[in-house]
Amino acid sequence: MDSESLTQPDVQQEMGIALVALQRRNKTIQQIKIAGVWVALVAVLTGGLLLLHIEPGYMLQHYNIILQGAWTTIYVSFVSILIATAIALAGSIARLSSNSIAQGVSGFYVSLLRGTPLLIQIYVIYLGLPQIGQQLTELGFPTIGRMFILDAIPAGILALSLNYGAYMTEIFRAGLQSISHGQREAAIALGMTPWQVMRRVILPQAIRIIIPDVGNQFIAMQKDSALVSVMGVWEITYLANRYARRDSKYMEMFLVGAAAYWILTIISSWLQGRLEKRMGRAYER
Amino acid sequence: MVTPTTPSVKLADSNIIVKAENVNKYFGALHVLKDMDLEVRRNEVVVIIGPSGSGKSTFLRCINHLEKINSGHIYVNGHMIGYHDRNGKLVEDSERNISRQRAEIGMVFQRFNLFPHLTAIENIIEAPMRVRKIPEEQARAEGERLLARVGLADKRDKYPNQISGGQQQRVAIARALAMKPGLMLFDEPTSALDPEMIGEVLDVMKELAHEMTMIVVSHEMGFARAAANRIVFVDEGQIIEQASPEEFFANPRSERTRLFLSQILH
Repeated sequence: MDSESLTQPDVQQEMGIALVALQRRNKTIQQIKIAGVWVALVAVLTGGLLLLHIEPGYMLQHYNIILQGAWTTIYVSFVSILIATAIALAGSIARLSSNSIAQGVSGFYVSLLRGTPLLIQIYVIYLGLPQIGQQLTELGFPTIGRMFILDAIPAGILALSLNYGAYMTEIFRAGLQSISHGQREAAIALGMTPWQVMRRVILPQAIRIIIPDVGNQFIAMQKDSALVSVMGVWEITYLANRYARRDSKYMEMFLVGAAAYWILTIISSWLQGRLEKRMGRAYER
Repeated sequence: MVTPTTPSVKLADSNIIVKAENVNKYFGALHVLKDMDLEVRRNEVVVIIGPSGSGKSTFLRCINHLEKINSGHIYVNGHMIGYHDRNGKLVEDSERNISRQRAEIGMVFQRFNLFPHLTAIENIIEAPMRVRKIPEEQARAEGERLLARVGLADKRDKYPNQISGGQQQRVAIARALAMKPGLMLFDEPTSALDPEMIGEVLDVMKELAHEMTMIVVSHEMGFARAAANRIVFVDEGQIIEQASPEEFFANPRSERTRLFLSQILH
């Protein structure tokens, strides 16, 4: 009896360890199987394309052109997501404020920018604004007028920032609202001012909730940045299109372009996962 | 009665820390506080008891202006809280002014409300550093002393999620004490705790009761008996009776008090 009760916990522990090892092994096998399916799908696609006389040689010769465009895509998306984040932060605080002007302005902005296509916003900023600039110049304000004439890349960044800023304002608002009212009460009861409460208590907690969504927005933006090719910005899509037309190698060039976006988003997803893990530190038991 | 237009009012007795006069509060059409009057003296421990929905927590939350009042006056340390008098009308203070007043009043919540993204020590030093502008080193030393005082020196670098409910509430008490408040408010501090953790929190509170002015909303009759100087029984937004614990439990005067006590003490 005595010896039995002594050994029992050991046996249980060993069984537990064995069970965990078994589960881990099953999971690894599962992952290997999934990877196998991916490899098979890529092989089938490649095989099919080769049968259709796609020229892999042409693709290999021209992938470095796309690579140059990738830097522009990364640059435009990265700057835009930073500006959009700043807009979203201000916009969400305005939406939640009790000030009716702040609420009105931010609500109007979100509605307008979410309610119209990004492509039209790009056209308005790149092609429409210079018209206003011209009129201002005629009215005798050439310095202000010149500010309305934007180069393609700044115009693209402005359009992407404003558009994504509107969507992200809503994401930030939901994130801020998800922090329990007790947190705010505890902070103000300690004598913290509304600004300190936001900066030190609400925002750090909300950011953890917001980060995955910002990551998703960044991934979406990398692909939406293809739209700035309409202004002749030499990013992935523009370059793919240019060489595709010149050499009539549409499938080849657009596949290389698509692959470039795909690789970018895979890298971004991986970075996003790491960031989320780091932000979750305080919540591990 | 309208007080003069000065923000600070000389009270007849400077030992009175909290003075509430004719406080009325509505939630929509619901009249939750009806002409509440209460005076709390320095170093007094007042325990407010009453059925749920009686308005006792709401009243406590009015004392640091977490809730607005509809009429009446509440003074803490001789200063009207949350409002100033302008030609006989109550005007709400600026956020900055209210924050300054709240810094002098500690509050402990039913659900602890620790900041989950900060460790125990960070929770404690946050307000002293940001509100009082105390240098980090000094705030940390003081914070560690407070953690030791509530028996949690070893949990200094734990996040709230990593400690028990009772431990979280003790950190919350240390956090409130770190501001060196002249008055502590406890809003049902043990109601959200598992039974086995209630004792450790009450022990800390009993210890504090020797040296602080405290207003405690609680259902813990054992604590009330042991630590209170005065028990205030509230029902339907009114103070029904108040007395020393001995008097209160032995000879409740009103019928409603007797009924409540018979229900709560079985």
